[in-house]
Order: sequence, then C-alpha cells, then structure tokens
Amino acid sequence: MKLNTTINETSKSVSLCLRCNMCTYGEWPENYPLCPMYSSEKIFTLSPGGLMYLVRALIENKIGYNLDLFKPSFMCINCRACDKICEIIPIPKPHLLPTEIIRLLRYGLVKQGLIPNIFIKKLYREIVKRNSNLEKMEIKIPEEIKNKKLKYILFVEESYPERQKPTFRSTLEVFKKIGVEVYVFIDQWGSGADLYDLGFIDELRSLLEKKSELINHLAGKNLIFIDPHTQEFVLKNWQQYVKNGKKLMGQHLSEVILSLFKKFRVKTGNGRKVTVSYHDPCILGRGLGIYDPPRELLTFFKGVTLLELTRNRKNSYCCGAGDGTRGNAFPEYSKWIARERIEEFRETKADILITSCSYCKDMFKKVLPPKQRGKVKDLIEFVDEMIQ
Amino acid sequence: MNKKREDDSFFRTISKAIGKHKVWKDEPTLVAYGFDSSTAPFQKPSFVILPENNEDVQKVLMTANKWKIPVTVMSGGVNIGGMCVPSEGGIVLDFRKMDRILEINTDSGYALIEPGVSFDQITAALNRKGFKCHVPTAPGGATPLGNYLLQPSGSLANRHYDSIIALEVVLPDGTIFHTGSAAYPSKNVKYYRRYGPFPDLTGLFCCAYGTLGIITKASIRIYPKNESSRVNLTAFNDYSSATQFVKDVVGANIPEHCIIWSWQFYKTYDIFLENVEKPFIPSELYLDPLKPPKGLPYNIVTTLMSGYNDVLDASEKVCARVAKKYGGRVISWKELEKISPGSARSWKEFYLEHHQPKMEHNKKYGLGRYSAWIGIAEPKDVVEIEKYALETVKKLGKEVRPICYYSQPFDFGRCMFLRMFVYTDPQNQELLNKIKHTYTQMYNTIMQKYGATPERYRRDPNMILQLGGYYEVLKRIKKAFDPNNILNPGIGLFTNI
Repeated sequence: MKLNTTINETSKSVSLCLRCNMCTYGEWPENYPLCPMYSSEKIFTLSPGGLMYLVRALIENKIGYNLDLFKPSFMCINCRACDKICEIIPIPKPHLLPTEIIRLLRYGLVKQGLIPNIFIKKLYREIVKRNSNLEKMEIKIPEEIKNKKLKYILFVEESYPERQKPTFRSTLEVFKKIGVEVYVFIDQWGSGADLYDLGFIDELRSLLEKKSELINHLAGKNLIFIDPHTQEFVLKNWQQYVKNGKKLMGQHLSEVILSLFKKFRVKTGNGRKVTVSYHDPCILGRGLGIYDPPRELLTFFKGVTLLELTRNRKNSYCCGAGDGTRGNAFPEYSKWIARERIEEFRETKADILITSCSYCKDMFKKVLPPKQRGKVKDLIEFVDEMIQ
Repeated sequence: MNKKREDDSFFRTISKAIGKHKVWKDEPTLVAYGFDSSTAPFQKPSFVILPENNEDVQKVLMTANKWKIPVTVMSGGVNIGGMCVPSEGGIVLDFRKMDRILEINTDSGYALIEPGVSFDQITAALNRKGFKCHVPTAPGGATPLGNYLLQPSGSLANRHYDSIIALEVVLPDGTIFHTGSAAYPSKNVKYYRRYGPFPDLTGLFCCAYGTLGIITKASIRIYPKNESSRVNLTAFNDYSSATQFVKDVVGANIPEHCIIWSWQFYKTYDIFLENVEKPFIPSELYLDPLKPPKGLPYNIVTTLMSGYNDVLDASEKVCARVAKKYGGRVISWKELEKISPGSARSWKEFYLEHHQPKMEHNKKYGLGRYSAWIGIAEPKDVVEIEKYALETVKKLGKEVRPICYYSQPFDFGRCMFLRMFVYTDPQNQELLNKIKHTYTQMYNTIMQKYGATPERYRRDPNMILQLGGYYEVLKRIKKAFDPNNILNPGIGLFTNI
C-alpha cells in the first residue's frame, strides 16, 4: 500500500462489500473458521466485512471517529485470512486488501488520538518520542553493504538478537555448521512493520524517508529474513522508497537453508525419531506464500514425521499474537486464540510444535504450562538441534 | 418517556429475559447493521439481538410487540435489495448464531436447518452424504432459508421450484407453530411434507420478507447426487435459439435444470485470472452486449443432468440433436476452458460439486454497484423482453457496464426468468437513481405488454398497492398475525394496515 493513501480513496472498494461473511472462513467443503475476531463474538461488526462497513460509514459520515471504533479496528489480528479470500474488495483502485484498509482505519483513530488501550498508547508515545530525535539520528550504512557483493546478507531488526536470543544464535550456528559465511545486517530502529500494522503511518513515513538512502543501497541485493513480518513489510512496502529502479529482493531463512542443505548435501540424520506439527505463521504463509520450504526442511531429517494441524497452509489459524502488539493489546483475547491453536496441536499428538515466527513461538509459550513450553520451537532452533 | 430512557428500559427488560450478551447496542454495531450494499436509505437500529434458540426469539418478539418496537429479521445478511435494512430505532434480529443443521434425512429427502445455516455449510454437509440442494448464484455465505423464501433462481429451479417444505414460526404474540407435516402431534415430528389436507401455511411466509412471522426452523428439499452428474454445454448465437433449445429439452424431461448465460456474464468469471494476486478485468466486458467478439458465443446454455450413466449418455445425444435443430452446437469443456477458463472452473464446482464456487460468484460484484432487474414471463415473450431490456439498459450509457444476464426455465418451463444486471460507480447516486427509474419503467412496460411479473419486492410500496383484492386480503392476514406492524415495517410492504 502506498503510504500516502487516504481512507477516502477506498470508498469504492468498501461500498462493494456484500456482507457475505465469506471473509471469515476457509475453503469449501471444510469451511474452517479462520477469522479469530469473528470467531470470538460471531457478530458482523467484528468481521472484516463489518470493518469495511464501518470504513464506509466513516467516509459517508454515518459515524464519526470515536472511541467505540477502537475495539473493532484493533481487534483484527492482521492474520490475512480475509485478504486471501475476498476477491471483491481489491478490484477497484487503489486495489487495497481488507487488512490494508483496516490499517487506514487505525491510522484515522491514531491521528485523532483515539487510543484508549494502555499498551498501544504507550507504544505510540514511545514511537513519537523516538521520532522526535529522527533528525539528529544518523542511519549508518555499513561499508559491506555499500561496496561488497555479499552473497548472504541476514537482515535483522535492531531489537531481534536481544529479543530472540536462542533463535538468532541458532541461525548463526546453522550457517556455521553448513560452512557458509553470512553477513549480519542490523537494521537500526526497525523496518517499520510494527508501525504499519498499528496505523502509526505518519511516524512510519518519517522513518522510511530517513532510511531512504539505506533502502536504495539494499535494493538489488539478496536479503535473508528470519522474521516474516519484517520480510513482508520490507519487500512489499520499502519498494516505494527505491529510486534506483532496482527491486528489493529477499528470501526467508527456511528457503535459504533448504537450498543450502540440498547444495552442500548436509548430513541430516542423527537417528532421532520425533513427530512434529508445523504451524504456518500468518505472514510467512498467507502474507508471503511460503508454505513448502519449512515443511521440506523439517522432513529433510530422517526420523522426523510431520503431523499436520487440521487448519494448515492457507487455512492456517493465527497464533493470537497478530501484528505489532504481539498479543499485548488484548491479552486475554490473544491467549484465547493461542489456546485454540494449542488444542489443535494436541489433537495431532505430535511431540513438538514448530513455527518460524518469533511472535507465534512466544504466544504459544504464554499459554502453555512452564513444563510444556519446550514443546514449542522455532524452525531454525529445531534444525540447529537436528543437524549433525 | 424519551427515546433514550425508553431504549435503556427496553435494554434492561430484554437483557433480563434472554441474557445481556445477546443484545448489542454499541455505536459501531448499530451503524454497521444500518445499511447494506443496496441503495436503501441508512436507518440505524437501537439494538442488534443475536438469538440462540426459539425461546429467545419468542421473548424478543413478545417484548417488542408490547413495546411496539419494529423488528427486522436477518438470516445471514447477504442481501442486495435492502430487505434487511432495519427501521430507525428498531431491533435487528440477526440469526447468525442459530446455524445448526438439525437433521439430514436422506430417506425422505429433506434437511432441517436453522435460519443462520449458510449454503457453504449445508452443501458441504450434503456432499458428505451424497446429496445436494438447490444452489443459487448468490454467494456461499448466503443462507438457504433467506434465499429460498424469496423464491430461488439457480441450479435446480426447473424441476425443483419450491425448495421449502415445512416451517417453525414465531408470531409477535409469542405463538410458536409448525407448518406442513410438522404441524401434526407426534412424539417424532417429521418435516417431509408441505401440502394438505389443509391450506398451505408454509407458502404464506414465502416472499413475506419477515413481515408475517419469524421462522426459526425450516425443512428444505434435498436430492441424491445419483450415479453421475453431467453438464451439457451448448452454444448459440442468439437468445431466441437458446430459449427454444431449453424449452425443447425441458419438455422432454431431460435436464434437472438449464441456465442460459449471456456472454458478458460468463466472461465476468475470468476476473483475476491472469494473476491471482491482482484483479484483471477482461476488456470484452465493456463492449456492446449485443455484439460479442468473434469466437465468443452469444449465449452458452448449461444443461444439468443427473442419474444413471446409460440414461445420461442418451440424453447427451438428444441435447446435441436438439442444439443442431436450433442452430446451436455442443461445446466441449476444453473449448469452454479456452473461451472462458473462469466459467469452466466455476460451473464444474457449481453443477458437479453442487456448491457455490468460493469467490467466483462474488468477484463480479467487484466491478461496481450491482443493480439487477428481473422479468418473468412466458417463454415466447421472454425472447422479446431480452431484446427490449438490453436495448433499454444500453441507453443508460457507457458508465453502465458490463450488461450481463442469465435466464432459466421455472417450473418445467411454464415461465422463463430473466435477470439482467449492470455495474456502476457505487458513488454516482444520480446514475443509480436513473437506473432505478429505468427499471421501474421497464417493469411497467413488460407487465402491460406481456403480462410479465416481477420476481421480488423492491422496497417500493407501489408494487403491491396495485394488486387490489390480493393486497386487501393479505392485509387482513397481516392484521391477524402482526396487529402492531412490528415485523419489518421499514420495507413498506404494509402501510396503513
């Protein structure tokens, strides 16, 4: 979505919603419920269609921005199920997906200062405070990025190595075990994916304008991402700041490791027999369309049996962490979603629940008893353990 | 008592009766339920209530009746005609939580469902049992009850026109009663029969738009999928030949159903085809609807047949012979895939799997505001009506594009249904009003000239006011059932009762 898009530009799209409700569930004949927000209350208002109606109501002055709009706007967990299902909303220009329109709704609320939620309000204040120093801030562009033709650039947001120590450590370890040198690029102040999800659009624009030189240096290089949220945002939204005609390109870590396994014929059989389920993170799956590489990587190991969760691939169900709030805005709601998914995992009777998103991993751990938290692993941690 | 205090008081009363969690009155909810995708005026209700059983419905109706608060019922809410837009300050009774399939009776051939059951739910459940039901061109999220009560058009309307059998109904005074075979006292109530030996009360609630009573349960007709299902595809260069073909094969009792698709309609199935991530609009959709480009048949007729393979083999031969007789030809699925890959994919799902393709039917709604006009008349008259309607709608200008239609026999071809629809800028109110005005004139013209009839009420009281004695009798029934006129008064079907 172009970051200068206004909510009024979506008027044609939102006025075409039929309230058919199909944005809330998956493919026939299973018709699995996919929209957590709708599953929670089963009322039209709390569905993607309902939000399209609220946007239309705002545009047509049937309602004004008010605090009551906060809950429906921010309860959407950004799981992208509706984006994959609805083929009506994106047809008119500017061809936005339902969750992109929801972000514009959030932006409107943020701009009006209508953020009653303590967690999001705190987050917003921190961002505003941080952005006030933006002019003084210097975006460092490492010489390696400027000059060298690096083959493997691991793109990591500034906070990631600290926030996700074991996953980051395992990532480096796996590259080391394969025997491939990787350059770690630490992205200062983050990619802005969280700001985008939360509708902090003004702050996001300022950040990306500041980063535009860096963005232009990164364009044309093959980036490797651990975090799907970062990957999706960088590849889909940083592009509008690229001036040199090049394209931002990148792959998810699972894709890269899989191809390295195949290329270097990595020994992957330590004899350990284990059953695993794979939870498709919403952004990696529905957002980026990456479903097979993580599965292929898992089954690369002899002794690993993959037991699919009932709702999988594009019919996957969110972990509850959702977007930039990581399950902290409506904690009980997020935990309720995570518990539902854990229940589905238990039904598979698999030993381990694998995912490839730190948001999902943390969210699942939140709802598991301490003794069972070890059952949830990031894909790369699992690979690190299994590799010889 | 002022409105606010009255609403607060009603809220306390109804919350106590059915539970607070079933009653919604937050501003976003009231606004979201105050309008739909039609041009019906925005009217904000005071409450949205989600009942969970018939007792909830009974309590809501009795309380609303006492307080004289309007109640607008919504089975699924997918309505393009504004029939669920509530009365200002009233109640929306939204049945989405009453979505249980209570019984699938494959012996007798009916399914007993609650109002909130969607087509996607019931078709999936029937599919597992080797059965099917009538499937309309509405989205899979629409409800059979909402659709069938309006008299359905779609996959089976030739042979199986009345899809509803028996009902459970709640009246504003709290009376709960059953129709058809379900009315009989038994420890084992059955819903298999609609008619006799007394007047058909099921029919009274069809096309009543929630103005006579609230339905809480219904049995719908279901049919076995049989040894085989096939769709015979025939192409014609004019609507008259296509209609003659349909009359002929229907008269010979060959198809379960036939649909004549206009070329611009079947091309709408191709939206998105080039890239599933990005919309793609076929350029042909903006051409003159009377002049298809070379290679695209003016009409394609889909003839659905099911039964034993031996019979179907013979039936297909007959279809080919009859098509030739009227200047048409059979086309293969392979050829259809070349002409319109989207329709090939969709029709297979629609006819052979017996469900609405997930989004295929919906994509066309992304072309703009959908405005439909329906004419029903005797077959020979519909041929003339098609020309008249296309020429008249064309005069609305190039902003009204594409112009699509589909047409089908009802009740073994006793009459033909023709639904023409256009897509326009949803914000161009002037144009939308012009379309509405043109449609009204078209209805009047075909009624006068051909004795044609509209299919559905369109929130225009004049449609029923002109019916004289029929309307007078209906009003007496309305008075008996709903003396305070609380049931969906907003649509204007009953005024001054």
